[in-house]
Amino acid sequence: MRKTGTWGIVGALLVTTLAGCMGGGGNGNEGGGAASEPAGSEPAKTGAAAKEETVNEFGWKVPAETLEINFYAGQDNPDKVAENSKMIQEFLLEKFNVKLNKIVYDVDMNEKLNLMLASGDYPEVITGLNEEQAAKWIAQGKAVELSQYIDEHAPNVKSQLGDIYKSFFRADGKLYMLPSYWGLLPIPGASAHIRNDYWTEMGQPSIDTPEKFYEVLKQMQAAHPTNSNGEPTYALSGYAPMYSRVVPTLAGMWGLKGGYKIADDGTNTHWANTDEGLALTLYMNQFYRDGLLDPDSFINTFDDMKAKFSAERVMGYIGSWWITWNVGHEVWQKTDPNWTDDKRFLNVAVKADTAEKAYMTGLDARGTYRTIITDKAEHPEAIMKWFNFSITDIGTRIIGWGVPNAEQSVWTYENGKIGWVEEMKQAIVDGTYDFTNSDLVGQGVMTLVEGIGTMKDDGKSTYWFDQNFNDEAKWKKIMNENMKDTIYDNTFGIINIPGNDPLAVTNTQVLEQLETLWAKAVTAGTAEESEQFFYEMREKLNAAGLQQIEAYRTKEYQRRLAEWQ
Amino acid sequence: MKPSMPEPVSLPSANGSTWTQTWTHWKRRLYRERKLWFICLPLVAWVVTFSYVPMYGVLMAFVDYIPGKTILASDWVGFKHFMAFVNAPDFGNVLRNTLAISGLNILICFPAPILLALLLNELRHRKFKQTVQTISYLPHFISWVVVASILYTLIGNEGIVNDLLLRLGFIDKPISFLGEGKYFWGILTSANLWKDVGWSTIIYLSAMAGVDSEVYEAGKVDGLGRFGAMWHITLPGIRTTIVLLWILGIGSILNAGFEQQLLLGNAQTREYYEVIDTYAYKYGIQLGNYSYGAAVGLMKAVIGVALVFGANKLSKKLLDTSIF
Repeated sequence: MRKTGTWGIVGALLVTTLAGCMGGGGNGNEGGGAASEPAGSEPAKTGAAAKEETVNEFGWKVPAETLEINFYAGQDNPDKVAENSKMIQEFLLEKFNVKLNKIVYDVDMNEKLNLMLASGDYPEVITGLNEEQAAKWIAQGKAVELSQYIDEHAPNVKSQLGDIYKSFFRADGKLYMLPSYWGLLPIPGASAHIRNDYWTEMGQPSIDTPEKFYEVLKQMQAAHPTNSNGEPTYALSGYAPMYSRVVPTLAGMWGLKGGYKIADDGTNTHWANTDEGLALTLYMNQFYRDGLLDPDSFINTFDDMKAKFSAERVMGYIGSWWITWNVGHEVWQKTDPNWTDDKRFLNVAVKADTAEKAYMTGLDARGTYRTIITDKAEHPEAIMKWFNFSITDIGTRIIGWGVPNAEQSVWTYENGKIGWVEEMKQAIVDGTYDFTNSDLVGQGVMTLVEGIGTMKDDGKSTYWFDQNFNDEAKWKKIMNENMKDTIYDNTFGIINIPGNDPLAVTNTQVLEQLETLWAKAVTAGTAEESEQFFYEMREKLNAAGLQQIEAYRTKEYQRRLAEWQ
Repeated sequence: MKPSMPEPVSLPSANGSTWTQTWTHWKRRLYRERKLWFICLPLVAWVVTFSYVPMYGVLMAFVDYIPGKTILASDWVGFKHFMAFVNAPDFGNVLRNTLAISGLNILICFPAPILLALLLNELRHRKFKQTVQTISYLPHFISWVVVASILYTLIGNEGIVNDLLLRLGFIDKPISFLGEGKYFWGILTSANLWKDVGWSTIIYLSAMAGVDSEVYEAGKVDGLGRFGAMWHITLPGIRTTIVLLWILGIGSILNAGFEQQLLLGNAQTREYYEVIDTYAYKYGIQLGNYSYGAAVGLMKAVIGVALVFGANKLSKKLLDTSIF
């Protein structure tokens, strides 16, 4: 009996061990990050639902069999994306016989991309890559050469991209990536921000220089030292990392472009190595020493900062235009029954006397993000055909504005005629539009190669639904008017160091030190100390490799000047 | 003086016979203990599969590994990544922070549970003792995410402590406890102490329970008071346990923490919070330089093993107690 029992235990242990070892044959997502579709799901394929090939009302030649494209689009909430994808996915399937499966994970995109490369488990299209990330996939031979497919199947890609098309070719004449969110839309992207109602209360004093901006904010904070709950207020706040959230716009006030001083010959000098850098550091230090800067500015997450803004504890900001809209009146509209239209933030242009011009919004015609087709694609030509449609003006409308002709739609499309849904348009003009509706109709969810500039067919429409009525929307109009002289084309200046270049590590080390050392200089107890810390920062950053990065940027900038002009 | 005898020399045939004897002995023993071996087999397989086979991955530290390629197909670069770490601008800071945080842990967080265990051991009221013990264990179960949020609420710029100090007029501007590097090591050590002091007493209390009660009776007879019994009976009674944990603690001196640094640290305190593990994570995992991360991790592991051996030898020499 004892012997049987012993062998029974041995057997059970072996069976359970083997069962455990053999039970992992499911898909790689088990227990991991959720995704709307598994990364390794069937690549671009044709489905069973065969139809007769016809041209639909949007000009798309509907394939006889369903074209299914799985694409990874970076870090996001999979449930939210699945919810936002639903309506547009159904629409595209019904009208185009195209099934787009957007895959996201709630995991850092860099980490996920590396894991995908290491495991070989990735879909046939990846979008939302920056150039450094894309370079890694190309170097590994995982990206498909695209020009052959473009030549044969995608004339629209060439014609829509126009002059910038050639800029995506490598030196060896091969093309592996296409841009998404490319094109120039001459609207402001960043500004100085100030509480409009308080400013009006003060008699709308001039705020066109950093000194005046500071003075007005100081007086504003003195007039409102606490909010209605008795919590202290700050003139200015920010969120981490400040070197990328605040500094490029702040440096723009002193005439730098994207944080760099760019000479006529293309020499790039980082702000930390310029006199302007010292000036802006001392400027921020003044805010700090006078108790006007939120002491958590270098620690805040966006949500932390939003909580302070929404609780009316902050009066100013420097950075992306939409931030104070999102954390300010878009919240107050919903939470404050006594909210009035002028209780909001105003976007203003500020220029230092020493600067010839303020450069607060740097536009990038090539767009920041890249899309690649991977070697998992069985039919890259079929995917390219979709790109060829979605990059057109009508394709961009569908992807950018979401599903047309539905109850929640913002636009209509009937017999080739495009129109706005008046109610939705008016809500944008009035500033009362609920952006959750945009999510519902899938605006921007399926973006792969869309341009965000002005559309060619009417010369005025744009991918962003809410940017189409800037001349009619009062506050947008004011912002555009205020900021019009601060917008510049920075296409040559948006330079990324490829991830497989050893300089990428140096760059990370420099950026990490930059945030720490700049925080130290800004939060110094005296102006002298701040200046001393600034020079120490300069020395340490250069020792860490900042000058190598400047040299890399200069070389690349000069190459672009020579080849792209 | 007796002449020393020369060592017997084993002839090849005799050597072969020794091997045969040993093998026969092992075979018999394996057969005799076959049931135990069968029971162990899955566990041995588990250890081999999950603890030893993955060690192949340390090779990554010596190659330029690129995700998508196999390790063996990658270019061999020898100690390049180790040198890159040593020459990195942050190396000095990272090493200093790691040693400082670990050193403070060993200095404060190591003796603290011994002290608490001694005190708990002296409690006579059973219910009270159990209650105190349970309360002291609770922080161990609180995740670092929650601890970080408690700390932000307590000592953040707008936290309770600053609010209190401002109201009492001791300060006129909030102290940025979490935004100034000079406070970081102290805050982290205090948080570590609070979180684990109770939990770490368990092993000492169990060791104390193993001390023969007759020794205490004898001590009483010899006139030992409670402090005397603690010093002369309890502490020597748990010496082996203390030494064992100390040696293991020394071996982990380069494990200065990970989540707590990432959760409590920020750009303003980076010069004080960045430790080897957070550095390896940032530059290895996040940047996708797995070889660099592996080199940093391997270097840490090798130093850790060397320290365990060193501490063990030292303890054997000084205290005549060792773990192997």
